[in-house]
Amino acid sequence: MDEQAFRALYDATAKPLWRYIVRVCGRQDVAEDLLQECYFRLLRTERAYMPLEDARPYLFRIASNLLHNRWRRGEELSLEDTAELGLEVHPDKSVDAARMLQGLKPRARELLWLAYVEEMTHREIAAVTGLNVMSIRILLLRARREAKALLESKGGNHV
Amino acid sequence: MSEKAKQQICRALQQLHAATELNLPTAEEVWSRSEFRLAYRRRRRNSASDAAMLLPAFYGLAVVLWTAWSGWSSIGLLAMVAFAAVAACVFVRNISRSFRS
Repeated sequence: MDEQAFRALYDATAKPLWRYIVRVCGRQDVAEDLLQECYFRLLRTERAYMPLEDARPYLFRIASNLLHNRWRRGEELSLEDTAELGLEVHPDKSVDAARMLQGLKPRARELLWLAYVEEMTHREIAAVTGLNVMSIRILLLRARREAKALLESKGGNHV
Repeated sequence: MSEKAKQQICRALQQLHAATELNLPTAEEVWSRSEFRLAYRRRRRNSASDAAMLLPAFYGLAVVLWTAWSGWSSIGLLAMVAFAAVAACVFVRNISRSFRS
């Protein structure tokens, strides 16, 4: 892949991927490393020339795997740590939403983001996370329940 | 779960989506870092394969000399081969250091 083709791919995929990583891992400094790693892993495979519609889920899959590796190593941050590190939240309604998201388990965060922000189907989420479609359905239901409980317990006025 | 609750969660996540600052690295930065790492990987792999060939080659030579032993005159040559084999081992170990690439 040449630089121009890479730039086109990056422009089309980097922003959603960045938001996903930042919001699921909760740290911008880590997100930068993970984003870099995602593109490096794509470039080192022979699949770097895949069409854009295939590259996007492939990049999300890499990002999910990298995030899981972090969680397995116990590098998940607590809510307090995240607040100390100044996770960027605007002084508006998104504060409650950010707290809600960080209060969820990493898997729930990941699934909710893919389903409601990236608007992926259950099948697409299954491809990204490596879970089967039935599990996605159940896990999403659980994640929604937890998210609802968190939003209500925070007393978010936007709920 | 009610449709209303789903919409609330969706709205909350959409707010987060909009509020996320885009401090991501530029395409040029990501490209140049990746290219550097890829170039280093290629060079390392090539050097490692060349160096890895040295050891069996010296071992083969030593076996040939051992079977065709012709007295003390070969001792110097064998010593040289042994020294080269050790050097090759050190070289291979140096360039095949494991690192995250």
